Amino acid sequence: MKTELPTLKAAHSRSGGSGLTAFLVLPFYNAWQYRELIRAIVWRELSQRFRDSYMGWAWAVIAPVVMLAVYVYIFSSALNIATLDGGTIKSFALSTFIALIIFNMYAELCSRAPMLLQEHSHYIKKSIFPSEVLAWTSLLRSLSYAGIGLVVFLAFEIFVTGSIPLTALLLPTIVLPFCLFVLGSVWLLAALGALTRDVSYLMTATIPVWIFATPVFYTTLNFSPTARMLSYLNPLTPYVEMAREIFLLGSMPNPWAYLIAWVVAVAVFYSGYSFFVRYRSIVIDVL
Amino acid sequence: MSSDCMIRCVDVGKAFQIYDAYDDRLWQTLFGRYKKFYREYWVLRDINFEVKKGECIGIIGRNGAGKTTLLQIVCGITQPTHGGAWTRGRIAPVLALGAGFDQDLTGRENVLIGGAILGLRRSEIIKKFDSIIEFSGIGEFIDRPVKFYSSGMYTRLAFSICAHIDADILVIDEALAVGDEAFQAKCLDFIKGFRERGTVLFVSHSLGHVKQLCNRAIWIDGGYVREIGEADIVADSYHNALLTEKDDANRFHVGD
Repeated sequence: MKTELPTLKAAHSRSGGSGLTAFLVLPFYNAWQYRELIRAIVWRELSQRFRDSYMGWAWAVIAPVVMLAVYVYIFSSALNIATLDGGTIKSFALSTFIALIIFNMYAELCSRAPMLLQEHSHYIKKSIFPSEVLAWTSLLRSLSYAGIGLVVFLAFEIFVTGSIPLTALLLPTIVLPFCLFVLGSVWLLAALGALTRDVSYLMTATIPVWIFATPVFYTTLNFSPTARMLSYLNPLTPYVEMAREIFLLGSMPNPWAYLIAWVVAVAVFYSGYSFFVRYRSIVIDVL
Repeated sequence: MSSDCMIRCVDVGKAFQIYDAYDDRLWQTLFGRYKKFYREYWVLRDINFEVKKGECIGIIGRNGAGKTTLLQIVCGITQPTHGGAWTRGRIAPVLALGAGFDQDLTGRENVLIGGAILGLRRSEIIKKFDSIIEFSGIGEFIDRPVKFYSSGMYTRLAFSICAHIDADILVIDEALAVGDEAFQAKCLDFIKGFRERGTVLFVSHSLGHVKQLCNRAIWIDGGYVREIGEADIVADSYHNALLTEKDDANRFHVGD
């Protein structure tokens, strides 16, 4: 009977075939399909964020500048901490600042992700809404804030040291795995968070601890090789170290860190996506 | 089984999972394949029907009969527990009030996002903007956040978007109930015109509208199809049943 009607599509199925290639391509194919929707939502979120304020987008620049100023002040006067590779206090502030850009971006996404589906339940329940795009929109929104932070960082680096190392051009090769890692994490946390509120509380409780497990205020570059490998158990460590290498030290990223970052990113991306797709139908009924 | 079938539901059943303890839901998600942690509440059972191109099907039934769930399954918003639903082409859902607007956004922004959700390109939506605003008749309120809208304005805008997306199937759930007579008349005219190129699925408690618009009707009672057939006949027997069957206290019970 079904063969008579080739164009009838099962109402609840989303596009896609089977097999490994289809599995690997599907998340990107779907995102491309919904690019207009992703654009509309990101545009809305960015324009809405500072809508009712007089300063508007200036806040997006002021916040990282204030943060940087505080770090420079604290580390140059109040504290006396051994600095990165015997460098100056100012380079310590820079190295903390770049780490914080990465950490804050990931922490903000992780703390919002568990509530992501609830926040958008009016779309998910009342219209035909591809809920997986919410991970893409979260990523793009936080990337744009991180981008502002990065511009402030680079401006400050020029101001302090007079130049930016050429290796900074390698940034896209680090951003790419980081995006995959972020997307996978958001899908995983969003699906789990819709099933139980505890995930949200767990994030609130662990993020303040996590900042100390990440080399934000210290560096692993002078750790012993074993200790350094152990520190890579925290998936953010390779990104922080690589960012410091390309932006501050002017060296190539550590190949081990780079490899680990990619392996973790791809694994998290695909497991997060398949977890989200598998539980999406259940999640809709409990929202 | 003709080839101009637009919607087909085969043995559609939907069971919601009822959890007695909150954490049972998590256990079900993690270990559901080994043990069942919930009780089932079947809101729909054995629903079979087909809708052909150019038809308008009315779905009637009392509160909690499963009408909205059926529409959600047809739209692909929720997945049937049993059986399957097939549709052809683009669906425009006018579900409940407001088709999922974001309260803090203006009407204009909601039109942009609502259109994108329905699969329209930004340029297409912008082209249709004036026409959407005119049809809705909400005037300069289009640039106010929708949280300041009255429920009538809300519905007007929601309906107006769906009327402009060149859908193949229009799914309407109680949307007209809050509009005033003038707007209802405008919508009814639109639906009548829409039938010439597409298919309509229409849930309403207004038997007058159902008789006026629909050629067929499905009466759903307690999750089952109680009667299906010509709209006038089904609507009349539903009306008669309403007069004889009282509204009893434990209609919404969880059965096994």
